[in-house]
Amino acid sequence: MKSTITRFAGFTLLWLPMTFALWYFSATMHASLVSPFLQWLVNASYPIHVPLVEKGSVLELMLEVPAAISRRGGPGVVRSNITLDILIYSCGIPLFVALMLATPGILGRWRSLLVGLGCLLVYEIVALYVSTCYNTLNMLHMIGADTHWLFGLPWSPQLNLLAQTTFALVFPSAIAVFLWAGLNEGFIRSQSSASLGRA
Amino acid sequence: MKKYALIYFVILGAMFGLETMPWAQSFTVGTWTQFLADFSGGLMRVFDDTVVVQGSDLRNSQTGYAVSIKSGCNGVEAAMILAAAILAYPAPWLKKLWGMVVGVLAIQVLNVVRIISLYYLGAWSQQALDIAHLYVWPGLIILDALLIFLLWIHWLGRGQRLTGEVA
Repeated sequence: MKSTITRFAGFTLLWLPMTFALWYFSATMHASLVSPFLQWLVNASYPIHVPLVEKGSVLELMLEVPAAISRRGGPGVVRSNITLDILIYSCGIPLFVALMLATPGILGRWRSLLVGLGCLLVYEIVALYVSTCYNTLNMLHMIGADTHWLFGLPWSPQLNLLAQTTFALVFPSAIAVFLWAGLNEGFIRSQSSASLGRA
Repeated sequence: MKKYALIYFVILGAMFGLETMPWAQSFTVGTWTQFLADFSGGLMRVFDDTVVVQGSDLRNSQTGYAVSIKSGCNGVEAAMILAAAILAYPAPWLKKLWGMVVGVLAIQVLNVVRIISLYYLGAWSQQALDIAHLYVWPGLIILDALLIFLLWIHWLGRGQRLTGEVA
């Protein structure tokens, strides 16, 4: 049974360069897919209108906060651009596809693959939105504005650090493995039970 | 599976929550990251005497080029993901402990390979460094954690079978 894991690992590593290249070179198309959802979420929840510009795989949100709420006060606005690289938030996609293609004996492989990809896209939109929020909070904190301006949220360095670590660094690839595990419970169980049966 | 997933995410959430505490940050960002920089720098100096360690930076003493090891780059989060998976799994505590020790060690070994590879990739091309650092290595580290977990449950199953035969 250990050879099943070795074979699975080997096939995953073989598929990975192909799925990675496909994902990497289709980034612009991918950005076009998620950016309308992000823009809608931000503009539906923020107290101001935030324009969004697509620059390849990078989304740039142009934030204009009333200067009156900042430390310096006065009329006008404080401008800040929030730059989000969609590849960072979607880097679990090639791993998920490689894992799904390498798993032996999946029933309804293509349906599961599509379900997983749909979940990863939803995660990506949520993660981009969360990143927009903590970047906005960081910006408000830097200009000395009351962070309650955004959804009444207080400034918390711990919370911002947690959001950044989980949504931008850990979860983009971890979520791919969580989804794969959820869709391949049988394969995981077989690693334990088949060795029980064989020995 | 649902019960396992629930326990897993509760443990993982608690671990991530604890990691953001200032005392935990001072260990993971401070002590552990420093150890990783010293260890990786020490290994690299075996074959490259231009490498110097300055704080958590690995620097080329001739060109001034440097990479910095930051929070999120020290393999702690991947180790927590694996540790939570092992802790949540129904198994004897000694075997869980064994799995966590070996698993965390394996993740950290791969992370040292990652740090060294990123240093040399960055010296060659900034674009290659960005691609490897932001998109390729996170997936490989998490894949490593998954494979260790699968090998651990395989080993666990074999151990249970052998115990059954003796009994």
